[in-house]
Amino acid sequence: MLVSILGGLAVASAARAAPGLEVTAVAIDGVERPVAATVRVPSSAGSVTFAFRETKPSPTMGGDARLRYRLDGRDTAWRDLPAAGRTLLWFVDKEGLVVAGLDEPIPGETPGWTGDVKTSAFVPQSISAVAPEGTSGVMVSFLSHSGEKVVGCLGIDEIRLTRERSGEEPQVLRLSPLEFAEQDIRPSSLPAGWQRVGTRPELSTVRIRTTPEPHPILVLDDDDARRFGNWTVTARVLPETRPGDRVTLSWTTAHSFGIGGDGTATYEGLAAGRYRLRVGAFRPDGNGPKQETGLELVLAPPFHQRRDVWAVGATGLVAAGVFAGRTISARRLKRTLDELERAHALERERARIARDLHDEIGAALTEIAMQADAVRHEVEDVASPEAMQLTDGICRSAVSLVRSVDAIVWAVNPANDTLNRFAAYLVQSTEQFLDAAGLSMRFQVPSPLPATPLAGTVRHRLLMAVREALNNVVKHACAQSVTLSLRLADGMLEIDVDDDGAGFDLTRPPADAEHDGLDNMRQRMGEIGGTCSIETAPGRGTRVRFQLPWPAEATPGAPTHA
Amino acid sequence: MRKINVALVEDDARLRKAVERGLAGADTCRLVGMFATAADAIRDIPALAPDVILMDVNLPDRSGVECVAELAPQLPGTQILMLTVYQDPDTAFQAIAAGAHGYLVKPVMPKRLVEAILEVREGGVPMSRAIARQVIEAFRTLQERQAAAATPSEKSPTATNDPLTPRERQVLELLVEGYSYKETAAQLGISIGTVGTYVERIYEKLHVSCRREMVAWSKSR
Repeated sequence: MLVSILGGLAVASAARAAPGLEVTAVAIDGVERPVAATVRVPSSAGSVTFAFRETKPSPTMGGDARLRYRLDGRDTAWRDLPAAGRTLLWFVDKEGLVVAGLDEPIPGETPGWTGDVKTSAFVPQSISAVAPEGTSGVMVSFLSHSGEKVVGCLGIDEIRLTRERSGEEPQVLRLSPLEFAEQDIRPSSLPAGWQRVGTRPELSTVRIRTTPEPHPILVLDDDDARRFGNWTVTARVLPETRPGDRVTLSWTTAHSFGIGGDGTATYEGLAAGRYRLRVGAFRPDGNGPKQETGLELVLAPPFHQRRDVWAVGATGLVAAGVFAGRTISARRLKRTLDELERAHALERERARIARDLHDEIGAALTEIAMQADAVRHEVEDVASPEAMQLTDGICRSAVSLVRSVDAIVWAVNPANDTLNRFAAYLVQSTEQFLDAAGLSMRFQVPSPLPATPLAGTVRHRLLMAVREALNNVVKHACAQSVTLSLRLADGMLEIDVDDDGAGFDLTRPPADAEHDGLDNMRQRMGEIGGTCSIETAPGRGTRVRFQLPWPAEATPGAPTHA
Repeated sequence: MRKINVALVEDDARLRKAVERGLAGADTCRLVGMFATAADAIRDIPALAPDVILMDVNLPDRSGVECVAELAPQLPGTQILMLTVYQDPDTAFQAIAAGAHGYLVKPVMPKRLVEAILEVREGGVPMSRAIARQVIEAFRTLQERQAAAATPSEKSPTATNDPLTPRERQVLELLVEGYSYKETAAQLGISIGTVGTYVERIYEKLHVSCRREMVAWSKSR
């Protein structure tokens, strides 16, 4: 009885813990659309982008799958996301520091890859370079890494290192066949002279290649999207190298690399019709798929080209009854498509306005500010105090407008859609603003912050709210120092603006201007589902706290669908 | 005292005019050349060997950052200040990693412009808090990458050592926390000039590290 209860529990938790796949986002011309079993797209769409990922209860649990995709109706085979391993031929100085080096990608898949490194065909490769000033040795590495998320399998054989020095015979060092201290060679055995390094050394293994005769080779068997293996042979084993020597590394390779974790695929120029996007989870060496997910994509022709709509008008009453259902759905579809196209047009228009704001208005305002400043200096000795104040005012307004334009352009740019970019901009603009006002400042902003997505509207409102608080400090608080802190805690993104100024009595209504400022902050935060609270007392400084709900899974380390 | 020779790279004619007018009024600086494109600047500035280059970030043909990457190695005695409309911390940092010595966010009033030119000439290398933040991150990333590529025996004591001295790191950390040069100097019991010297060394190490890491050296094969 007990056994069967435990068995049942195990099955339930295994079902929850089973790795899965999901399509996380669909974007038409860069504008995100809701993910559904069927996604309808206007045929005017220039590009369709899908983001997908492997969903696992924990990123450290089990091996990562290799993600492949295909769009049935367009593709006839599975596609890999671009990925590569690397070969390094590094020149190092006496202290073992890298002076310079070659960094050769090992991209994609070799022709003759069978899905198993033991039986695949090997392809010859070589790289060569002249040792620069400061060289005292070389180092050779093979890595299953070329940036993020690489998974796959790489076999290396017939490794040779040649050193040419003028006036001497070329010296050749054969690093293959591998030599071992023990008789019984296992995947974990260590060939003489080689070292396992990388962020997960055990991904570097030894296997037996069957052709021409069974012999051991170096293999990187990488099923970890976050970490990589590295087979390295150090300077001590290799021939001594001096500046001016030509060093050539040659080897043969059989490999297949792809991407694990998450990825995106973009299709352009799709004709009207029905498609099916398929995402597959493969073994790192390319075998599979062991699991699959997907969605339907419908690119409808423009409304006026649709024969079925016109057909209804041309058919008699009886036929109209039959086709009625279809006409209605066609109308509804057209309405949806129109909405999509409007939203798309709006996005494009917004980007254009932002560019124009930057190029034209930004430059013109800069000119106005500089001219007003020049006038002020010209007339300094002769003008009335009022005239001086007016030119000062022009200058200040122009400068503050440039900053506002800047913030809008920054917020509209989708490249800034992450928390870390927001923090960097917040620190920089706060620094500029407080420096100009002559206040000292402290920052408590963690570094590094995750690249969690943060939409343009949210970023802009949040930024404006914090600026309002800083503005209030400079205008009303008589403060000397401001502390800006940002943290992620308890499902909240929290930003505090603390000053050491006069503070005020929260129970007595503040002056109109201040009141407006407080209202503005509350409103801006309310619009994005956040709050703004104030802690203050006369003579005690002021703390303005902005809080925004922050999904728990979006805290550090969470994958983003980029 | 010899005037400081300044070259300007800026595609907007109105702003070229405004900077020209601003520098004309200063008796410490002299404008020796104005360029509207990166191509012109890369072709002609090396011959001028100015003391200071004012470089716009957004140029029509190539980015100001690429322009810096071309010019900086040819002109070791020249300081480059970036002019940017965007308060874009990433672009500013890229320019600095490529060899620029600081950046000014437009609009820059002529008085401030002249001050900045004098400061950078007198070795008062500026580093904003936002840039300090990115510099720390860059060193951290470089170290992680080296640690990942290094063999265990090389992990100590030299290869993965912090490229910054403890004092340089202290300066950087205080800047990140929002301290000004003056406050940093007071905190560490050193002069403002010494803070500037530390910052200059940090920049040098950043340039060297970035070059080691990024510059494609593979041409010689």
